[in-house]
Amino acid sequence: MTFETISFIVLAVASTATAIGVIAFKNAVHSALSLILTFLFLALFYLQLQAMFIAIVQILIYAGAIMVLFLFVVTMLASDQNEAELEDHIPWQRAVGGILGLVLVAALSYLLFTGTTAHPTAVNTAESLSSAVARYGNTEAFGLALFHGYLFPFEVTSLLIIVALLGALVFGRRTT
Amino acid sequence: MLNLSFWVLLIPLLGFIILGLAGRFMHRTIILTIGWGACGLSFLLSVINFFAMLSTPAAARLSIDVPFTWISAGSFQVSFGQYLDPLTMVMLLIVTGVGFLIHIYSAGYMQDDPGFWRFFAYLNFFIFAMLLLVTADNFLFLLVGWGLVGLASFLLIGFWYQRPSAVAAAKKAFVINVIGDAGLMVAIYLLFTTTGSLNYTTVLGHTFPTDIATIICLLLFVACAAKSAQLPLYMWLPDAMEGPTPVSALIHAATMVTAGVYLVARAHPLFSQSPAALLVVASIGGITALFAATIALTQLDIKRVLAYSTISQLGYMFLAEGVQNYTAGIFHLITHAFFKALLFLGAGAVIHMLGGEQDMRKMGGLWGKARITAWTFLIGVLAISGIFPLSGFWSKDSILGSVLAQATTSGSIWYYVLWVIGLLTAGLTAFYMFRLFFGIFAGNYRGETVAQAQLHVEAETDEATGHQQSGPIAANAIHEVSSVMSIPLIILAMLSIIGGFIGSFALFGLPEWSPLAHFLPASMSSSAPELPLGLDWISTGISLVLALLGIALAWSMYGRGFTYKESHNPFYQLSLNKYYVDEGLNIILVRPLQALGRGFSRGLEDITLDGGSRGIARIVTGIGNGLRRVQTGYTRNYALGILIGVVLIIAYYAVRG
Amino acid sequence: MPLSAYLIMSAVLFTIGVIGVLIRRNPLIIFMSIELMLNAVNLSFVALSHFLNTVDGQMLVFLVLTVAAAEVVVGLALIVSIFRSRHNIDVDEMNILRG
Repeated sequence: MTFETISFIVLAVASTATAIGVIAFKNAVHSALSLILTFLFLALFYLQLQAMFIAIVQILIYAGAIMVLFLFVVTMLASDQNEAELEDHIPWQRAVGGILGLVLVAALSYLLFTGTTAHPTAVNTAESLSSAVARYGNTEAFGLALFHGYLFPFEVTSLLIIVALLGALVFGRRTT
Repeated sequence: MLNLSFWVLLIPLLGFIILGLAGRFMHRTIILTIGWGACGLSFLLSVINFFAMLSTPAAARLSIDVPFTWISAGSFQVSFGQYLDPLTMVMLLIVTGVGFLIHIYSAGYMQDDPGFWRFFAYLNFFIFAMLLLVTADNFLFLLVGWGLVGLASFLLIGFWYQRPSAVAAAKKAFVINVIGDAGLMVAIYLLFTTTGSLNYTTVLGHTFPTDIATIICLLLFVACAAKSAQLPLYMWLPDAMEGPTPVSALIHAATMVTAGVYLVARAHPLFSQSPAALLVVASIGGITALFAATIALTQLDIKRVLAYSTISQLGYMFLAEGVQNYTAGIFHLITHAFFKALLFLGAGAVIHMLGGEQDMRKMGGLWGKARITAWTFLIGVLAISGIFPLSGFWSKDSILGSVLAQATTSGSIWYYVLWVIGLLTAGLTAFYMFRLFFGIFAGNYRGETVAQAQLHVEAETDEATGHQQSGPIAANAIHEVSSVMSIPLIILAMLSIIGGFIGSFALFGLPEWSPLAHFLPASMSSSAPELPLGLDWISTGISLVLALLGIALAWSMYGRGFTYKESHNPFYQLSLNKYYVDEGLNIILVRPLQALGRGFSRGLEDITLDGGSRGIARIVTGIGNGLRRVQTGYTRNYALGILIGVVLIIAYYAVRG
Repeated sequence: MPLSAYLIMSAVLFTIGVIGVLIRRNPLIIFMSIELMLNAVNLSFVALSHFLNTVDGQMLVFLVLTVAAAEVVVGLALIVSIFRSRHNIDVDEMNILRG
């Protein structure tokens, strides 16, 4: 058992547990905290996959910014609401959803397990990730690729963020 | 050669469009300017063109002017073209000339009608449609004109649409005309499949197999019989008298009803190829002539007498065409246009004078009160009775002569019968026309003498309905019609006198003198057998004697005034009730059709179709109600739906491997 | 570890997110489940990027991240405005489109 295997197993168990925690906790605050933990474990996965920049961004933006926003809204709105006290109009949904979820994960796992090669043939050219990382370092390689090959999607994304911002402003405005 | 027919055609159309769109807001002077102007200008152009044609050698008198091509599909070409030959020329002159006189007359007759502008718009439209019919250079545009003429007739018969009887008559005319149109359409289809073209030049020059020619000719004759009110499709014409009298004069006597006669003459190269069809044309014509004349004997409504006499005279025209003397048919068409228009306008004047009264029993004694009307009416009556030397004499004589010639040449007994029928009809015609004349003008006035002054002025007629009967007119309130109405009468009377002189004078030893026969294409009379002069005299003499006998009988019975006696003589009742044709049709055709319709309405409509559609609706509603439950409104349910889909897709791939 | 291990890990997280969406009625938690699903996908992107030795997967993760941020902003704004008008945030109560 290599270190990689051990760490994978540990991370897998931990992230699965916290993810289940997200959907299992009655209190939304607990769910949010559990989700932050999941995100952190995922960042560790990324590190293990040698994606330093993504890992850092994951921690900063997801575990940081987005989840802070979540917690803010949760504490504002739902901290006093208890879901269990409300009548469930479609109780069968819970069972059906669970079973279907199991079927889904089973089918997906089976497909992925049988359908993917363990170590696919990697691209090994001058443009490949590893050579770029070796030449410039991880973040620089990412930045170069972003501003060379992905400039247009990047700009479109910025536009999307502006629109989302305006949308949030419109919704957030106090209606008179 | 000069061919102005496009403009002759266009001007009434413009008149119709202007009057139809803006006539409502126009002053009556402007309406008259446009209405008269359109028809008059059209007439003027026709006359100019007529003289241009006269100065052209006979061989070059055909001109086809094609302003544009309407349909061009491969070898199939239909152009909007004007076919101008002497036959068309004659029709142009008659339609625009008589039409113009009637336009003038209408200004007086329709004076107080609220639909004044509408009337003139319709008249112009009718002139346009009729001109389109006679100037078309192919059968398709002939059909267009044919249909439009029917439409114009429908509009004008139903002109007083407030009267249920007028609306019913208009519908009847339209339906019967459409029967004819269907015949024409099928004939055109056959012509096209046989010759591949619809142009007169191609079709009429074509030689058909005899049976095809017979079928086509019979179908064409169905159309002619419907348009020209021949047996068995004549029923609409008497009912069409519901329209204003000028309309009866223009459409139902002088022009539209002659469309059938025109079509047979136009298609005479075709008819000449089918002896069977010619026999049918002649027989129908002859029988119709006698049949209608017997009905006319007893009618009491003066317009109905004239209507039946029109049917009878049209029968004469077809009789002439049936024995291949197309020139004689057209000749009678011309003279008939003159004297029948005259008679109708005269009858209209009488009706106008009497405030809408049409019943002969309430007339009489007008001789001294309305001299112009009486004299012109007398001329018309003499002309239609075929009294020498008025126009009717010449044309009727040439028809009877041709029939006798056909009889002697072919030796067929049937043509002798037709000849006798023609002679008999001539006598009957003289009788019932003079019965009509004496009924209107002789004796004493039989309308009740009502002193109330407000009743006698036509201007006081019901504003909404125009010429409604305004009750009996006081005898001393009857006065001659205005000059706008009497001048057309005088002109038509003169034409009725001299109109016959364009025919042949062979009877009087002047065989060269026959302007009409020389003007019309030679083929239109060449195939008719010649009648020896002696036989011609015999035929003429007998018909004249019979006519005089008819007049004498009428004089002896009604000379001192018409008296109506209820008679239970079965023949009298048969004639008075028009052989119960309408009632019979009602029983054998209308009722069963209505019953069938009701049956369909119940069986097919209510049960099958409605039931079916209701059933479908119920099924759809049921499905919708079922599907409605899927829309629970729970967002999570919808998400579950998505998941089910995803799982199915993934499972499919997992199972497939 | 083989590639399939990471992908199966991703599938497990994704399914947990799906189940969360289906069984929870608090829209905030449903939202968190959606974020979980997005992250599950991100994991498979990064794994593939690593094993294929290309930068494209990471690039997509970056884009997903920004889109997720925008989505969270709008989604939370929606939830807040719904809460303002209805004073509760049970998704089962939001069923006026029911057939």
